[in-house]
Amino acid sequence: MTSSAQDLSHWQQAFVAALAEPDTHLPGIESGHQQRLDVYRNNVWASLIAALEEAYPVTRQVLGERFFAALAHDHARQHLPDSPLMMDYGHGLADTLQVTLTTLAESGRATRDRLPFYAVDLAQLEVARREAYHAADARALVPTQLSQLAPEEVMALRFASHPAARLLHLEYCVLDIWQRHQQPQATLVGLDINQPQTLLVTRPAFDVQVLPLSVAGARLLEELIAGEALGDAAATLAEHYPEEDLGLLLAPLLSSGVFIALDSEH
Amino acid sequence: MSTKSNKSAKTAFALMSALGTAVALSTAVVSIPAHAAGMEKCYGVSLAGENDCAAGPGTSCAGTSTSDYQGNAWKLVPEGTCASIETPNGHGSLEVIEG
Repeated sequence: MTSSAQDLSHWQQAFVAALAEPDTHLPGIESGHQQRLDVYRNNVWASLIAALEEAYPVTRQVLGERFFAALAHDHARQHLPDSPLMMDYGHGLADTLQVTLTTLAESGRATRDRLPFYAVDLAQLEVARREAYHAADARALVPTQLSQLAPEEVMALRFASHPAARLLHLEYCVLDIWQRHQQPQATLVGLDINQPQTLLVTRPAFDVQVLPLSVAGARLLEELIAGEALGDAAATLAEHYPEEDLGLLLAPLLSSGVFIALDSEH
Repeated sequence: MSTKSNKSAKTAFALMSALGTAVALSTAVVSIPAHAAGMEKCYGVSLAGENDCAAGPGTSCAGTSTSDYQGNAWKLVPEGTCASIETPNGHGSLEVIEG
């Protein structure tokens, strides 16, 4: 590196450090420009927080605006953007929230069961929806494609998962919570949130879809996504869930867009 | 015919039958909805906050304060709809605790 490049690199590091802490003096700028740096710093944080607010509208509604802004600020301080693509920014917010709520519970400010730990799951759903929205397009499997296959082809059939597909194992029934918050005046009254939920997020065409799966349905999907042949996945399922009807479990998966079209496989 | 091939023939038959059920139940659902036909993804008009330069408060100078967004974070307890959850120990907390 040339010395001027080194100077630039050092100055850039000093600039980033000055953005992190208020009242930091940045060497090499006129004192009259210090206030402009303050404005710039505030804009940086405001824009990062705004990006997180846009990414997690329901989580924000659940936590309240002030708490969310504080959470977002805390997250942004630990995770500066590593890409100019703000549509990808803030994917780890659920982890930050988990740590924050745990810290609050341990500090004795609020008891654990009065803190909205379900919002951690909610943030995971919201980020999965956003990832699915921005994931690559692919042609989803059309179920009738499968009608033409011979028995031995069906036994050996392997599916490839769609780039937008996400499978979430959650501790709370977050889909119900999310749906209730699509209405104004959302309330969770009458909903027992302490029900684990496995959600399949897909985007077969333009709209993101979320489908709750049964335990057996999720197991079947995991086998198939892992590349197991349909015959082997069916045998595994029959062993662990002998009461389940394979056809009924498979139908919603085929409809969901979780698999790509057979002829578009590599 | 050996027992083994008998068994695998039975499995294949069961699987074909299950697949038939699955396809019959799922057929009409997955194809691209009519309103989506003829649409295309349009880049450059993304959702607010998901555009690639983080327009928003930052672009038009959100303010000159140095103290906004500074970390008074965990003096606050969440104040949203957690209040309406019914837990075995009563409702969630709506109180904001000022530190």
